[in-house]
Amino acid sequence: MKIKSSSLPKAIFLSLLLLLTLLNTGCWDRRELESLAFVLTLGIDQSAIDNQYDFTFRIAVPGNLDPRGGKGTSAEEMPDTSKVVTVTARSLPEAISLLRTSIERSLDFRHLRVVIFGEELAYKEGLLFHIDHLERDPHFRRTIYVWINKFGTARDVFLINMPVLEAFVTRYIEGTNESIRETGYARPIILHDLVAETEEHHVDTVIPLICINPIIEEEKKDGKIVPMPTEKYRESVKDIIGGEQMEHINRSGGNPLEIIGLAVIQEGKMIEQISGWESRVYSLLRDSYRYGTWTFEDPEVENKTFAVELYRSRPPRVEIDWQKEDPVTIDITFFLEGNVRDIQSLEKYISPETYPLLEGVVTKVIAEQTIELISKMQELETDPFYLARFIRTQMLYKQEYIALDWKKRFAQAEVNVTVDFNLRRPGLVIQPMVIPEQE
Amino acid sequence: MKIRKKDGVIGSFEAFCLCNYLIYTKMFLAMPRHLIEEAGPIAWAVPILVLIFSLLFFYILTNLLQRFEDLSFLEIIGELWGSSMQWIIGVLFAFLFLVITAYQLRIIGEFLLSTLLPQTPLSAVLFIMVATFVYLAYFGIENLARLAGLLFPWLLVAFVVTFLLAVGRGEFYNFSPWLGYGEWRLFVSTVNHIGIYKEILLLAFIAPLFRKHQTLRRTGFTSLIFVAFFFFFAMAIYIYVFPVHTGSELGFPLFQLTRLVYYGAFLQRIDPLFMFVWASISIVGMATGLYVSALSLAQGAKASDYRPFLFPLAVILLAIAFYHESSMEAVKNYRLFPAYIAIPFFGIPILAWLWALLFHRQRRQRQ
Repeated sequence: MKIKSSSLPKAIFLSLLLLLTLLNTGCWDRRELESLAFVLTLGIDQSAIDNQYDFTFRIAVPGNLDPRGGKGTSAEEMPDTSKVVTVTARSLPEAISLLRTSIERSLDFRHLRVVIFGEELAYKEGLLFHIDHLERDPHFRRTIYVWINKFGTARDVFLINMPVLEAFVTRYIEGTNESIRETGYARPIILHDLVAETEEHHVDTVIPLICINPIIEEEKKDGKIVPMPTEKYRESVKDIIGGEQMEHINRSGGNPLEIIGLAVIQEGKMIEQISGWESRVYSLLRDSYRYGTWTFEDPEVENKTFAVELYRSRPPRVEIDWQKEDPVTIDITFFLEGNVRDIQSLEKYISPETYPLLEGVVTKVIAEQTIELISKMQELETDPFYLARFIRTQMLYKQEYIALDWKKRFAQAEVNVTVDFNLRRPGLVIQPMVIPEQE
Repeated sequence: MKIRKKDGVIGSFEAFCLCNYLIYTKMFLAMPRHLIEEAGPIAWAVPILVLIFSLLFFYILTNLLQRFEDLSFLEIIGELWGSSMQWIIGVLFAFLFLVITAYQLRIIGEFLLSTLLPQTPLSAVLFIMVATFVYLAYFGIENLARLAGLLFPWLLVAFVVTFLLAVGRGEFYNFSPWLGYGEWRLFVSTVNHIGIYKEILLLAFIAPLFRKHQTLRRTGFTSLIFVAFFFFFAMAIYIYVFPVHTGSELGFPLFQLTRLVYYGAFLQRIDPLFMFVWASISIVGMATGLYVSALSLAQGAKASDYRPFLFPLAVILLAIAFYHESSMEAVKNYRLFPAYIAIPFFGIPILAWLWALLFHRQRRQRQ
């Protein structure tokens, strides 16, 4: 068959295209799903050897996953969905290449969801030396969460984790971050936030704290959590209110891990830890708070509480007279709204006339807690709330902003806090139940 | 002279799309990083300031083209300054378009190697891309323009959606302090990037393909305004999401922006959508670059067909693309030379216009 001269170039190009489709299948970079080992979580700790670190990897074993998902897991099932491996090396890339010597598949970090740092490393040396690889290597995404173990190593977190419901650790991480978003007991931080806030002037960043609850740690035997007898539990609990202090929550059963509180990070190092209560106030100041349930002492009945579902109605208003001589004055106003969730004392507070009684307690407590937290940070000369953001929006030039010397000025500042709070809804009942004999 | 034997006419929308692709390719490279580094939080204003100058330039260009209707830019040069100058300027513009395309090619190749294809040799990526350019350019402006027009609505939607999804990570205060590093730094950055829209000159090379001069004029102005809006849009979102210090150090800035999209388990990892937008715009844009380069040589030499120039130019394109030893070297030079390249791009047409205004009073009408 004779090919027309005008058809020849088309035939050549068509052949070339066919050839290109073969090449485009990616012979060099082919990545078959069956040949990959997905790392889901990564832990970094100070090693017992000088200048080396313990890198702990949790590698998914997808074959053992139940496709139905969300199915309850027993202690024996959890280890099968993932394996924990620790490598001691000088750096993360070195640890990854050393790990390859014992893993039969290519390591893939595209599904990595969290990096956990040990307390000692975070306090002494800081996190920044390990961040560069996470930013530079295309395997890692800037959306990975960052946590710090409050009282120990990241490796311990890996070894003790026993999610209550999720068989797959990625779902556990997603769910946990959603929970802290909903309760306000911490602020979920991703790698992008950590880098951006570390590089920004006049702000120190925070990282959520995860910790191992010693009561449940004690309950873990042979890979199972067996709740201790009531008598023993009563002996184990401390005289604390959960979330108020840095201590663990009084709890038995469930996952030994709990995520509450924040680490304040300055120049990459952890300089302070703040409790769950303080974290909620932090979130109000940083405007990362959305809603959560708060419990307050009853204004009229001793040792009784009332609970309010508190949500932010508007961003906080912060006025700083930064142009005057030190000390500067910082006026903060929070705009909050709430729904009544519990009146333990059964007092009849639900009416427009008695609402101010409850509202007064809420505004007083939040204002006091805010002043207290700010004073604590002022002593450390750190501003994790990024109050300077309210100044930068009044400035024209970046040079002026850089030269602000904010942290020193913040440390000496006089702070006034106002809480504009309104109770909106009483919930599904109006007044609490009435006991006829007491009427 | 016809651009190519049996050349047809080009529609306003297709030409508009082609201009957009050709101009916008550079935004997917390191440009957002350079802008934020130079101008700080007010970097979003640079594309707008450059637009003012570019609109003025395009007004002058259309004025020149109107005086010589039915002639392309290089034919006008021949008419004004003789055949030798037509050849010299033809070679010059061919070289300039080729260099721009070659640098873009190299940086995009490096981008692919740094992100998706770390094990693939650079040569494999570049050869495949250049083969695609030759294929697209060979079938001429009409095919290129139709392809550009066909893809345009899809790309536009994908582009806008991808970028808007990244907004969730942003902070409004990232735009402050409002004047960034100051008016002077903003001015310097504007001058450095004065050539952002210089490729609009493409319209002058294909001027005879427009049915009416008014169509060309309308296409040019619309393209400039539209593309400037999207430079501004992408830049504003980039600044909104990345503070100045972080934004100044990111490789492949817009790609990084899309990698931040994460709305739980069901809406995440949309960067492949961005890759589709980016690859389509870049490939059509760079193929147009190669096409204009060949066209410039053909028009300069008064050749009747540009196609014989394509393959030799493709070889030179690859040679330039491979010239730099490291990716950073290529990025650094690509950052520096556009400011200088802008001089002939703007200078020669303005000079020709002045010349025509002063020494060539006779107006030529479309035949």
